[in-house]
Amino acid sequence: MLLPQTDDPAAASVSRRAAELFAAHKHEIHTRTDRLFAGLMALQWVGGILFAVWVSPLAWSGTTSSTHLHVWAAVVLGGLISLFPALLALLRPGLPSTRYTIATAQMLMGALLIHLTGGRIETHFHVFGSLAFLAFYRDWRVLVPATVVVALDHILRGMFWPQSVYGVLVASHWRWLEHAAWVIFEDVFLVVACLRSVGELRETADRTAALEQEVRTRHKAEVDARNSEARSEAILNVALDCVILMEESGRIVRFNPAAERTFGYAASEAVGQPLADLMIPADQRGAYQDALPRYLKTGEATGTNRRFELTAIRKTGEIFPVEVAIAPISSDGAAMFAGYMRDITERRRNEAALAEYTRDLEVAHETQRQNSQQLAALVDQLRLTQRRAEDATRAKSDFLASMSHELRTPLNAIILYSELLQEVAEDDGKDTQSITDLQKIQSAGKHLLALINGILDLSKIEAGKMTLSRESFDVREMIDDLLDTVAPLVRKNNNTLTVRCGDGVGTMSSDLMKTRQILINLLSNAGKFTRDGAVTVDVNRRAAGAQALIEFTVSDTGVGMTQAQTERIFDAFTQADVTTTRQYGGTGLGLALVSRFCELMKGSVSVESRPGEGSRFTVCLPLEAAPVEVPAVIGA
Amino acid sequence: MMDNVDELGNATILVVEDNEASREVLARRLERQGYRVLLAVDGRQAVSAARTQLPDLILMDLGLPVLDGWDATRQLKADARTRHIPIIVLSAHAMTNDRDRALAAGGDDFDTKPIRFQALLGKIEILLNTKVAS
Repeated sequence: MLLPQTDDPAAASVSRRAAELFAAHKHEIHTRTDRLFAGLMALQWVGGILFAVWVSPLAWSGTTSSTHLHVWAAVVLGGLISLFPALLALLRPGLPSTRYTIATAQMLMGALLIHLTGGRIETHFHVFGSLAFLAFYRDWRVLVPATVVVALDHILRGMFWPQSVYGVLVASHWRWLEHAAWVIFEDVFLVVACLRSVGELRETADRTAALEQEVRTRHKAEVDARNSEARSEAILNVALDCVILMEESGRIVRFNPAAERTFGYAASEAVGQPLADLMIPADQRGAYQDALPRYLKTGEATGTNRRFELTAIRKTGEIFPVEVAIAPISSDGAAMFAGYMRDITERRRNEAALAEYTRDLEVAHETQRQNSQQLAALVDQLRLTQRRAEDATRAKSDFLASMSHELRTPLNAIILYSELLQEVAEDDGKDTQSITDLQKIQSAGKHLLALINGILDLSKIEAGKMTLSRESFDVREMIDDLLDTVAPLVRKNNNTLTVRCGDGVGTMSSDLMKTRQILINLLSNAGKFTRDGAVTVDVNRRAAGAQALIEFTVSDTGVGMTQAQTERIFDAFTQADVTTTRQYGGTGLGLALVSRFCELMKGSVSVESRPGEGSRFTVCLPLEAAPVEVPAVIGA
Repeated sequence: MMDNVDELGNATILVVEDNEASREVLARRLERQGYRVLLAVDGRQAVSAARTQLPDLILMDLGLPVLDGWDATRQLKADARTRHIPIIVLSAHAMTNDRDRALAAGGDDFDTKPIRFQALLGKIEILLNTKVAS
């Protein structure tokens, strides 16, 4: 074994391969030798026959002759001995049994030839030749059966038929020993030759296997190197960063496509140039050239294996910022460096833009914060204002309610006393002047009461305390009922009163008292401002979309109003003009209440009028009021 | 009771009113109609006068000193001796819930001030008639 037996898988593989090669080579030698013997067998057979025919073709017995027995022996025995091993050599070459059979047959053939030559001693050299030939197998074991056959042959024929083997009629019984000794003498050399030959075969196999391994390893290393090279090349080519390889002197040896794109030089232009001259602006060059030797000396410098930024210059002369990292490349030869550079112009721009954007955002944020604060303050202010307004409204409402109460008590006394005095005066038969005066006091008291009631109603509506009730009533009946109250007022000024209300108007479901109040106010107004004229009430059902309405129209032929007057007619205390109250009486609150009630009941009121041509008020109310009992709040 | 009411005209009415002018004029006018009138200026007086004098009807103001009209009405209606006496509550407040509160306290009828005297007389007569009839 050339290689020591180890646990190393590579070594194990080599020794496995060596054993394989050795076995294959031996097998090949055995097979080839088998084939040689097959040929030799055939030759010996034919040779034996020719020899037999040539030496003693015929056997004579008197005058008759026949083919000599030796000829038949050569043909038959030679055939028998040769045919089987020859067939084995052709059909099963390389097997041990084949070569042992051949060895045996070859020695038998030798014995036949000796016999055919009449035991000529020279023919015995066939035996030595055969042994030498068998040594071709490089297998010393085949010499064993061969030697045994020779020995046995000599013993037996020497004993029973010495002429056949020694060519004499009588031979010593021990002569075979001499022959066997010569054979063994030869065997010794042949065995040594076989063993040495096998040793050489083995060595050859070991060397071949080792060589093969070596070839494989080298090939793999070559492939690896080629792949690595290709990978590096591909990486350098597709790298987005500039990769520049430099010698110790700073001279460029490799310049990748990204570097070409960034700096504007072709690789062919850049390679061989000092990097500093080509790519560092003149004013920065000194610092760069100082730094590189410092690194070379100390092995560590500011830039090594760390990123730093510096200013570079393009072929066009444009100066731009780059981010740089320098790494040493370990190499067998001279020291080399890889410089990685990245154009950070865009990044700088983005950073600047981001900084600006951030600043803008901060400004916007600050502005928004201020706006929110202002808004919050404004909302607070508004809430406060609203609360104050609400408080004020409530206070006003409360004030009016208590004022109304306080006013009613003395008014109660005034009215009752004026009535009492009228009764007393009438009973006493006093002059009519006193009675008329007392009536005026009473009338003024009642007017004051109407004012107080009106103001109270308006303030209740404003404070959202006016509630709506809902009941079903027949419209026609309600009109007839209120006419009892209103008709005298209307007819007082010599007016006619006409009501046009069909029976089909039916019932409405709403606040009866407020509906009544609306119509009473409108009719008493009409009666008040019309003299010797006509007052008409029209009641009709209308539909506004899906909603059924009742429309009340109160028209008169009275004094009428100007456009300006109609526009303010529903405001409190704004009768057509200041003289009106003096001339016609009334609180100045009637139409304001009509308007507020209509609004409260989700209806509407409108007026058409011309001075001297009378007025026409139209009230529309839902036939069915919303079923609510909660206090209705009128929006301020 | 029966000794106070020989006929309608002689019925006794207790007027409870803190405002002097209102009290006086109401008393004068009721007397002119033939009623006997008793007076009280606050709720407590009203309750004790009603218990001792047993009027046929009470006119009760609501805003009264010492004991207000609601409490006085409630006490009178809780007392077996005075429970049967009809009470007309008079209020200077025109707020609708005054009426509900007055009736809830046990008032038999309600009217607002200033008093419409003829209407009030109608209510009084109706209550007295009802009482006589019962």
